[in-house]
Amino acid sequence: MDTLQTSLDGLMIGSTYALIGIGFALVFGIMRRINLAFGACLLFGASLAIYLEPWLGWGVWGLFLVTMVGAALASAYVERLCFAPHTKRTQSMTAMIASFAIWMQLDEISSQMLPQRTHAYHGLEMPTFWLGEISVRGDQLLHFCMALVSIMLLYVLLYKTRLGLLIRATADNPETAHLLGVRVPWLGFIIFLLAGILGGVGAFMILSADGYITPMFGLWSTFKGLLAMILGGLGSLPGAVIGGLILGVVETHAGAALGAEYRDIVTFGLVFLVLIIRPGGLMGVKIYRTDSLAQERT
Amino acid sequence: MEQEEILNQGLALVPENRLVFPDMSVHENLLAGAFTKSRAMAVEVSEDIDKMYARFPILKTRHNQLAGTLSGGEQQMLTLARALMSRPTILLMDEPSVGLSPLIVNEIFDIIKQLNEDGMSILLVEQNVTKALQVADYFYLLDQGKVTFGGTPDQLQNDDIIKRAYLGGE
Repeated sequence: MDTLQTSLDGLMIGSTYALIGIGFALVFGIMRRINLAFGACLLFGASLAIYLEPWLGWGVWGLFLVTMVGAALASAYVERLCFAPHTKRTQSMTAMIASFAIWMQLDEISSQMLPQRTHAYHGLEMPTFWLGEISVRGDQLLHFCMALVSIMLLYVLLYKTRLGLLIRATADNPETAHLLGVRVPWLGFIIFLLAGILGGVGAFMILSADGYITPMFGLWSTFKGLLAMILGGLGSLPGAVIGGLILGVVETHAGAALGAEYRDIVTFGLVFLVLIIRPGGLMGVKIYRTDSLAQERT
Repeated sequence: MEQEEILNQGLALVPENRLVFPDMSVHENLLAGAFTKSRAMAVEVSEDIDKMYARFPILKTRHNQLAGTLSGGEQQMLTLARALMSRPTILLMDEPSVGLSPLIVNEIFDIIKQLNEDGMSILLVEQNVTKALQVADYFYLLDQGKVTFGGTPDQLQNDDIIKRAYLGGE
């Protein structure tokens, strides 16, 4: 029973990791780059939400909206500043280092907005449900459903719409997509917005469940998101979901069994082990692309 | 000029090495060929796809298969069909015979000839001199980036061309 409870709690937290991981995986899958400022974008969105709360007074759902919108805006800002000017294959490091710098900037802006080390981030007041001996927090259940809906909406977008076809084609082979008239830079912008929105949902889930926000949230969510993506396979969206969920479950079990100090060691150890056995992550994703130029006969 | 503009002006490229989208189905690859067509033209796009299936029956058979699992010849047909989806007036074909067995090459060139007879202008870049001259109305021989000969296929003996092309004599 305890195992079931821990696993359930793990899935709850894992679903938030999945969303953040998807944010990273979207950008890596389409553009073969990691937005190092992504976690900071989420921190910015959440900080903005708390900062504007006195003026807006929209309650918890206001926090949700502004966190999402703020994260999306910050993400778009990073794209315009760091990634759009550096689209050549040789410039991927430049773009990522630039995003590292903006990470610092967004962290600082967030601290300016919320000068105290800890700020309240209101959650929903909901009852706790009991299924036999298993307890489920009402708000966490709602969050889990929100995550589920978000992922389903993403799936519909990617597989049932024309935009989704464009995105998948560009992820598959950007040169060919360009050949067929896809405006790849514009698509990149859309992807960053999408990543910000999904990450924002994840951020809201974590913060409102915890009830507070600290400046460490930027670094923390970067770690979790990257781990989820690496575990699942770089750039794979299903991988990010599975990676996030597994990360949540393993982490919670490790914390319950061994205490909080050993939780992170076990988590990192798991990722390490998976990468040794399966370098491409759980979904076995190739991280290189067979370059068409490399295939040219000399 | 933006790539979209080029496609709208009626120029389509069948790239070397058959750049299909390997993780998307045949059907989705064909849809990808019509990216520049607006949402309003969904009916025309659907009709075009049916036309492609009629011209390339093997694509119809495999329409749900991932493009990366197709054979070389089938991928070449897919790339060709995808290029045709943008309704070009001029088709640029870059080395379509590369890596294909002679039987498949014959099939591909039959299709090229058929397309030409149906009214498509084709600019073909080919190393397979024999096959290229069988389908061409006019040809240029390029040697190290320079045009060394231009004429109709009957103007020069096959072996003479091969001599010029590969042995660099004059």
